[in-house]
Amino acid sequence: MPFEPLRFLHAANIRLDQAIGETFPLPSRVASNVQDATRAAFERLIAFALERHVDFLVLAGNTFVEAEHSLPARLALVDGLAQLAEESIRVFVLPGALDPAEAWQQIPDLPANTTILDPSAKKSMAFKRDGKLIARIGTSPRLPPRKGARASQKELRSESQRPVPFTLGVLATIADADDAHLLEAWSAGQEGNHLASTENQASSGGAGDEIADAPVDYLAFGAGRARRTFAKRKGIAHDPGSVQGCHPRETGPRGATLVSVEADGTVHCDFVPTASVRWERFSIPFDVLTSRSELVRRCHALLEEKCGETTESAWIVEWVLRGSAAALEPYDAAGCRALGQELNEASLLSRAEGVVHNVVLHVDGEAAARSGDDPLHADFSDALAACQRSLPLEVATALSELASTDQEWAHDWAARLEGVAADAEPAAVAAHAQRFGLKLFRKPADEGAAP
Amino acid sequence: MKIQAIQIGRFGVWQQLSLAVPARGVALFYGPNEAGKTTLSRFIRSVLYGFEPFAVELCDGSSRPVGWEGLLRVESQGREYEIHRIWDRGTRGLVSVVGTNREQPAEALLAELLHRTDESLFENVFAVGLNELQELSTLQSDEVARHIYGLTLGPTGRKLLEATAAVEEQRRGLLDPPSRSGRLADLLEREQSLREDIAAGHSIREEHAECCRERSRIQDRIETLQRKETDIALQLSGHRLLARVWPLWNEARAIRSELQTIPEVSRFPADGVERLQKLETQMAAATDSRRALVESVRALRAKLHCFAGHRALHAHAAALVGFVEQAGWYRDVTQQAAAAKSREEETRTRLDRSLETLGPDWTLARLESLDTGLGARRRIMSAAARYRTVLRQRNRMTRLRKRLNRVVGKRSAELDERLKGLGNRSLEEAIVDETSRLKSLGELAGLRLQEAELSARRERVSQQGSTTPEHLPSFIPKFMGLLLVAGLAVTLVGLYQAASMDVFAGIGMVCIGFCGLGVAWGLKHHLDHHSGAAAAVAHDEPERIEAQLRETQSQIARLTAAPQIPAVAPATPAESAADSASVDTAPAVVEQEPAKPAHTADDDARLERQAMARLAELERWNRTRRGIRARRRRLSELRSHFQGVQRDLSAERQNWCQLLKDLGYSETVKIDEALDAWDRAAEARDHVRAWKAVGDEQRHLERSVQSFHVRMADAGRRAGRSDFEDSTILDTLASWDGELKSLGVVREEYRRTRRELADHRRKAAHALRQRQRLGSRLSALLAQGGAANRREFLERAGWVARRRECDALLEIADDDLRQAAAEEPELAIVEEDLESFDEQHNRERIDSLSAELEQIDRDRQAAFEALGGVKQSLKSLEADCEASRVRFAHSQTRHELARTAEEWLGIELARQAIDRVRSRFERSCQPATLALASKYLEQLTRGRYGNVWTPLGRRELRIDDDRGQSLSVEQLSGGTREQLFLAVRMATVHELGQKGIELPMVLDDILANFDQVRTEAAVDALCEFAAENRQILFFTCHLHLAHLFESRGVEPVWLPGHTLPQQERRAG
Repeated sequence: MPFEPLRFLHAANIRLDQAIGETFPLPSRVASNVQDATRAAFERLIAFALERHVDFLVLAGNTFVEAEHSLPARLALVDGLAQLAEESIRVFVLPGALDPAEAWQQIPDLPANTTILDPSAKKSMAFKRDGKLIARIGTSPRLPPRKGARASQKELRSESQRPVPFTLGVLATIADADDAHLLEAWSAGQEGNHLASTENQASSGGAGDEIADAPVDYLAFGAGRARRTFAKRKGIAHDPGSVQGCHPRETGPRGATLVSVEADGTVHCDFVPTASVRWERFSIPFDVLTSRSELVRRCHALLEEKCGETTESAWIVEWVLRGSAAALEPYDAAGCRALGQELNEASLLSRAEGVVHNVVLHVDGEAAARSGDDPLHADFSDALAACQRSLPLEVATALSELASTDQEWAHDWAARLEGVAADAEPAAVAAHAQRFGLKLFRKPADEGAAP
Repeated sequence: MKIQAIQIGRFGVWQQLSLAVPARGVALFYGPNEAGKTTLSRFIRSVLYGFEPFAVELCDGSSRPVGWEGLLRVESQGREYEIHRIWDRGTRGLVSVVGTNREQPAEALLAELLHRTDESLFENVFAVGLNELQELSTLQSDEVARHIYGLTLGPTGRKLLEATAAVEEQRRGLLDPPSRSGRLADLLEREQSLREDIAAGHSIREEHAECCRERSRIQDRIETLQRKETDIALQLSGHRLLARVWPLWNEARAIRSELQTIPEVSRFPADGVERLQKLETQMAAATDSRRALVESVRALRAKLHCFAGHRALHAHAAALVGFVEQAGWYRDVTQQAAAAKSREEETRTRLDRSLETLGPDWTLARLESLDTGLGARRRIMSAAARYRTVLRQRNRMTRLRKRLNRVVGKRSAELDERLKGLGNRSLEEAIVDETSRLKSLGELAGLRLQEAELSARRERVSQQGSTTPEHLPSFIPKFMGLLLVAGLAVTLVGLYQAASMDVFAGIGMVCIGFCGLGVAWGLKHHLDHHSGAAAAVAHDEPERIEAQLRETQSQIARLTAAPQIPAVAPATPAESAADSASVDTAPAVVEQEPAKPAHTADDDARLERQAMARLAELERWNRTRRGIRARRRRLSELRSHFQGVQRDLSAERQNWCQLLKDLGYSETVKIDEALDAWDRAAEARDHVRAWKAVGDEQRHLERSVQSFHVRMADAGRRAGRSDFEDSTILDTLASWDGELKSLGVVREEYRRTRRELADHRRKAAHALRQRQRLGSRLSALLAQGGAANRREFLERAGWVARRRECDALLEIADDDLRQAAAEEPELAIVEEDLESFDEQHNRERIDSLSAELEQIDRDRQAAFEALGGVKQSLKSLEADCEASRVRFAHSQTRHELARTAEEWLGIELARQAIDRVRSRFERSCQPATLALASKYLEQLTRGRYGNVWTPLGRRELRIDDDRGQSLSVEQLSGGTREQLFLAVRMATVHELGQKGIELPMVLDDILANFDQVRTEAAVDALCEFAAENRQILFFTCHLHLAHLFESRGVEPVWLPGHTLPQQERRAG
């Protein structure tokens, strides 16, 4: 199926000026980078669009965080859109959970090149070049039947092989389950579903005219949770991930996608790095026999497998040491800091001055009492296991004890801690308890505890 | 140890009581209230551990210790002992233990029998009453608690306790609600603070949007203003152009209209009007010239008539010149006269003032008769000096006399006040008495010294008398006997030698023998005499000393029995010092305390010091009185001297008054006043003289002026001058002087006026002829212009000129109009606008538009300023990164909070796990005592409560009921609590028994609060407990308890005095 060659940028989850701080205290040289990371990523995105002079830019949700009421975010957004407007580059915006449509509508001086897509509207937006319809952008995975347009187009194509508009469906989901439903809806009727999760090339050609509402040629995910591509027989679904990782879990290189549609319908999805701060998280199994030098060597090997992007000026690496409580015992808070410092000093990356290491402990399972351990420790472990099973109850008990104080602030604290506790990792809580128990009931060395 | 019998000698209410006690099982003692059950149990404890200090209060309020005594017959390890204890002051009783032949102190033996237990253990565990049973504190002493609470926890318990403490410490480090501190608390507060900062920063975006809106609004307004300004400027230009064009257009229009109204005139002379005007001017000039000449002729005639008076003046000019020359003199004299008059008035005023100051009785005549010469002044001054000297002397003596009087009176009053304390005695008598008393005290002191010496001597003599005569050393009699024997032997040998061998040698030896005998006799005689004398002395001396002593004592008694004399209290040193300076402070006179017999030398010395002090004080008063007398004498002398001075003063005053009278002044004794009056009178006299002199001078000058007036009037009248009547002399003279000076000029003017009159008459005739010629020429001109008269000629000439002028103006106006229209090519003006033009309205419109333009300009400036401000605000808002920084910090804090909360929850989890372990440990690993107590409690409560335990590390008992509920002691009922404590004590006794400590339990009515079921259970438990080879002494006042025990085979011991009722009850 012939198309007019087309090139656009697909970005999602920009979260302009969102505070990235869900991490340990950072050195000032990194902190400033982290603080401005999302804005820098957006500026890179705009610069790239201008440099390549793309046809349009798709912002697929969560472009900014309305709840934060950030003025720098709004300024950066308006400035970026204005730059694109000067070059006549259109912008299609899909409001997300964090940037609802009302928030977009309230932005003063929004350039005219910006089109806000309405997820509830059936009608798609047209993108024309020199008066010729090049693409249609909607918010549905499938195009609605339009007065036999598809059939007439088919006839025309069959007659003269005239290019047809490229169709885009921009959708923002909240959870992975939504993504699955969306994909299912998009791929309904398509045979030979095949995933192309790593390679971003697929053909959108083919006859999909059997059903009235055909799937779009390019399904633009707006979740921005991770970079992934789903290629179908008819079209391609793609999530570019966030342009900048804002959380320790958002690891790896981050950026947007340059989508190039060739005349024969071939779609290329090229990664466009935009993130200036990169998060990495490595899990390292650890036992009592693992020495520190061995640990550093392993870290080195893991880091070597990763290669950085040119835009990245800082790396925040989180090392999760997994092991038993006894094995992790030497790595208390001070020990973790010392190891982090050692890793910092080991210059594991060429840009060592921009790399920060953080060591996190993860105690595996319920620590069984070792043979020869203090019977009390065994009792404690049993009791801890029982408490762990009823962790919510135990947490509620602790919070109710706190709230039992007659002070008003104690109630407030309890309520806030309840919120924090809800997000707490039970494994981390249990690890703390186990490590503490081990410290309390560990037999002195002269009594001949575990080797 | 078990008690077999109780024997009380005396203890409390018990006396001579003897009770046998069953050695095994329960021994029940029954007695009603106040029977002495508690006393009996106390007796057992007191015999074993000592009496409590106790005293009986007597009727007089004093207390007397009571002598308790009693014994316990006990059996221990198969041997019988008697422990006897009797009251002893300052101790807890003397104890003796009978039944052993070990030579050890009874206390040690008793401690061994008591297994070295202390009294508190016995009191808290073995011997308890209802009060002790009810109190938990009796189980808290260290020795008891060691058994109950298992204070030695063992390694596991210790570790659990340490773990608990460590958890608590860790918790507090993270979150300590009481102190609102800890890492987590800090993070919570920091997070809250950052959240508030973020919330506060939410308005920044709205503020920015508002600023943007404001910026747009201002920019719109600026554009609107600019557009409006352009429009108004255009309008203004139009109006201004109209304003410029309309006058030109209007002028042209007016000129054209005027041209239409002006008639055309033909053949009018070209310069007709100029010629007409010239002729008219010439005619007018000729007419005016002639009129002026006629007027001049009339004036010159009048002037010539005025020159007639100068002729008389010219005739008497020489006489008048004389007066004119005296005008200077006249002015001086007149001024001198006026000055003299004013001086006279001034002098008169001063004179009158002086007379007023002198007094009403002073007149001018009296003043003129007054002598104010230098002689009179010398006399009055010397008299005043004398009078003053005498006055000063009198005053000085008066002051001295007053001062002396005051001092003498004051000191006399003080002395009298003091002397009142002497009573009826005079000061001399008091001094004599005090002197004799001092002397007596001296004698008394001597006598006491003598008495003391005599007493000492008597003591010595009596001691000498009581001892045996002095024994000579034993070798002296032996030596004397040896000397005697040797003397005899040598004498005999000498005699034999003399008789048989050698006479001389024999005589020599006899002599030596006699010498020895002599020496021996001499020594013996001396010793006998000495011992005899000593015996005689020893016999007489005591009597003599005794007699002297009696004599001395009688003298002392006489002296001490002498009547006491009122004494003056000795003044303190401070008072004495003050008195030495003055007698202002009177020492208090007090009655001496009744003198006690002086028994010691110190008393005598004290009395002597007192007497000396009194005597010194009296002597001081005496000196004061002598001083007062001396002052009085001096005062008397002063008084006589003062009378003499007073006489001198009277004489001088008389002389003074006489002198004043002689000199003409008023009599007065006030010197200064008289001298002042004299000075004022002299001054007034001077004023009189000056006034008279000035009056004479003034009158003389007045006469000179008057004479000049008369002469001048005569001369004036002769010269025909009457002008001096109405003016002053000097003005008249000045007028005359002027007229005389101008007299020559006036003559010359007279002659010139005559000539001028003739000339003017001639010129007037010539002017008349000239006017007639000009009239003819004017008529010819009017005829040429076609006018009948001048007005018509001028009208026709005006028409011609105006037409010519209008043509020129019209041409100019048209040019201007074209130029004005060309200035604003873009504006087109139509004729209608010009026709409807209203200048006033146009001006108003221009003003209005100009004002509007200015207003717009101001508004635009203000808008630009506002725009600058808004842009600045926007710039600052956009440059503000604080909100991002705060959000970043908040996010980091939230992360840290989450991690710390995880840590805190981990600690909480560990704490709850430790609590579980601990709870299990507490219930399963209790001290043996509590395990046993649990058994007894279960027995006592019939299974209601089964487990007694104590939390780790705390002295706190907890009980689990049959529902598994854990209760603290405070939550139990009173009865259950007593059952718990009884069970704990039974367990403790059991535990102690296991360690070999076996002592009888003494229970004083402890089942009083038990219900029937539990009472029976308790009786069963106690019987069962006692059956394990233990002795329980149970005291009760409840008969049912006695019967209950009796039903279990325990024979009650009916305490003495209570057997009969019991028998009756038992029978019942």
